[in-house]
Amino acid sequence: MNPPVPASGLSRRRFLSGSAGAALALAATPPLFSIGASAEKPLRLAVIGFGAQGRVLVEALLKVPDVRIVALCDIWDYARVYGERLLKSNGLEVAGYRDVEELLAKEKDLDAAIVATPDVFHAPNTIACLRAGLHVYCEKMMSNTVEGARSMVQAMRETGRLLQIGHQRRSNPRYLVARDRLLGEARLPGRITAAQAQWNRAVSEDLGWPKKAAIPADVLAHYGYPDMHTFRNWRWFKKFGGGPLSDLGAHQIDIFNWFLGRLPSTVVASGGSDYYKNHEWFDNAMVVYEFPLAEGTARAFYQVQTTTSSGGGYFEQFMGTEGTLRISENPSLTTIYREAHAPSWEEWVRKNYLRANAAPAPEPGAKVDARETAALATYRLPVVTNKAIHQYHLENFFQAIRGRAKLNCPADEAFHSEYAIFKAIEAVETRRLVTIDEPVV
Amino acid sequence: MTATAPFLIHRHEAMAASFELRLATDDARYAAQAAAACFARLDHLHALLNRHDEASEISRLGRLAPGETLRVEADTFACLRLALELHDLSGGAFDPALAAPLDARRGGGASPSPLGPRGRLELDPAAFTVRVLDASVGLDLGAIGKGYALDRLAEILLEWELPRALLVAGEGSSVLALDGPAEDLAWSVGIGEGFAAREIALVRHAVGASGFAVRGAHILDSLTGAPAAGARRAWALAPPGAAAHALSTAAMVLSPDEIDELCVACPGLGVITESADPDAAPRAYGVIPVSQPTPP
Repeated sequence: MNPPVPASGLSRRRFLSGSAGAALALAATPPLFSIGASAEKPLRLAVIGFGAQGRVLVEALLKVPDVRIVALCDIWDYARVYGERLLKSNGLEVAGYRDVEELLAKEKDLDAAIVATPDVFHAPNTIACLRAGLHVYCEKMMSNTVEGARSMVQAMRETGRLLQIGHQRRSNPRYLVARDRLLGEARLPGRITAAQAQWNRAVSEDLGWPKKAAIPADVLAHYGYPDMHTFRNWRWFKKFGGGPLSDLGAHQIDIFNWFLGRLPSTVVASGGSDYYKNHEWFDNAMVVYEFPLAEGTARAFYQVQTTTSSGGGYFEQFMGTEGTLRISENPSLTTIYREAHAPSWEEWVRKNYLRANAAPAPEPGAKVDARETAALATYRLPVVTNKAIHQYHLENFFQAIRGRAKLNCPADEAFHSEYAIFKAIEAVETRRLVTIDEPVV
Repeated sequence: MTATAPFLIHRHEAMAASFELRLATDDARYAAQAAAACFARLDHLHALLNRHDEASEISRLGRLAPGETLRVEADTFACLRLALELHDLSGGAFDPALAAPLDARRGGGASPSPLGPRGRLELDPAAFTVRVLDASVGLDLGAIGKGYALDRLAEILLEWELPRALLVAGEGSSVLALDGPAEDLAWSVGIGEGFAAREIALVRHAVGASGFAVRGAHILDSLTGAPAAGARRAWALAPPGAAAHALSTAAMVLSPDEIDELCVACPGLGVITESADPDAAPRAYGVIPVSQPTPP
């Protein structure tokens, strides 16, 4: 599928474009330099799991200076070969493995592993890597069981290695500014009385696979999969994943806990397998947490729907007596609203804590101009990021390995936060109010 | 020959356009899963190439100051490289760096005329980096982004062994035909309206359509900064590879002699233009696949 081979450009326009002062916009040139070149020894990485999330992480890793992927592991030859080709096109020859054990036995010069397998394999793979002396970045949820997640924290403590969990919003500069400055320092929402978050997705077909790429039955059985459909759609099966509250809610309920500075005290929830009849996990859930904050109780509502994209996409929202912060990884879904009676935010605009989307209305005087309806005041974050959304969290991990930073989401903190998600799942399954005690590791 | 044959349709929205896959197969579930795989890839390309999303790589490139460098994903790099090649091939008539003057016009203002000197991009294919020189460069990949996406979706369909497919973006502004809907059948693609309307039989061929008939004067000539003064509508037909989608835009800007020259430069390229004169017959250049008048 190649475009027609150019024989030559057009004479008139080529002549014009080469003349002085012409509007020549672009020029493709041979390589002149290489990004990220430095004297620092690259960290040598293994990537374990090259499904959809593994690909996202690899694309982000390719943008991080001073790291080098040297090994890639996935039980699906089709995915692994795709990854090997992708990395080769980026100048990286990697060793491919189906088994983590084989990878760890042969690769003796690794610094860290990136784990992006189905949830049920997070704990055994992460613990094996930690015990092999590697630092580990593991995707969230830590596990599909509390016990699995707890065992990861224990292994982190036993080995003294670093274990970062992939709640990547915790390293996102936009989220850091929102939490530390807007909520923490300026307290723009006033007293927070409620929070809301959601991730709604349209109905979708179960994941398939090219017929020629099916994994042999004996290989599937070796890893515990009854068939190819379960392998491709593991998120819907309790043996392998935690369902939508875990897959999608984990990111956002973590933001409740992180922004409000504590775990909720109780949770009630409802959900069910009401649409998809071949899935084990519920396809929708609505959850209400109570957060006993110092100023009084705040309630937080979370919903995840996998049968409708309605409701404004995915975001987390903190609502208070003086304003509301709505934030999302998608910057276009982020807005800050001021209540009409709230004190002026001009001071915070001047300090560059936030930016007004329109010029502020003049202070009231004796005269009123009769004019068309003006829009209500809204504000935006002053931060525009210039990196892939996972890149910041990965870079924090590598900086921590080099002793230059603290992890933004170490496994013990992640476990503490994810405990509230396990409790929400329990509330759905038991259909009763569940008390959330401090989790013990 | 062209004729109708049963096919399944799957639709998705991305890049400010609708995308449609027409798949001729009896296996509806397999086709739906293949379409889902295509649309997942499409959403990723949207996230990289959509200049209206401040997090996209194209937006990030547009924010670079002179001297700054961004490492981009292979897809962004490949699409940008193709855009530069077609910019050069068309003598600048296809110009993916017109985001700022287009925004000025959409905002009710006028684009500066002429546009004057602009920044340049330096691409390093070994490091997948793009460096900005002289001044910031606002990119709008426009049609080539949709064409590039159709090519990637076609690769997925072939990987899934679903070669009997027609891929359509933007309600027909970009069309890519793989194998016909049945043995010895081609996909039928309509071009033009009224007395000049014709149907073209397409197999393993792409069509790009540009014009002022639907969205007004949104195509600028980078030499003048003003709306293109050539044809009212233009179609480019070429083998797969995203060229057709960019070169139909170029054909809106170029003179008839320049379009002739473009077709010589691009073996396999065909162009049809429709002038503003409603009584004038369309003009064809280069290689046009078999076509016939549309039955009344």
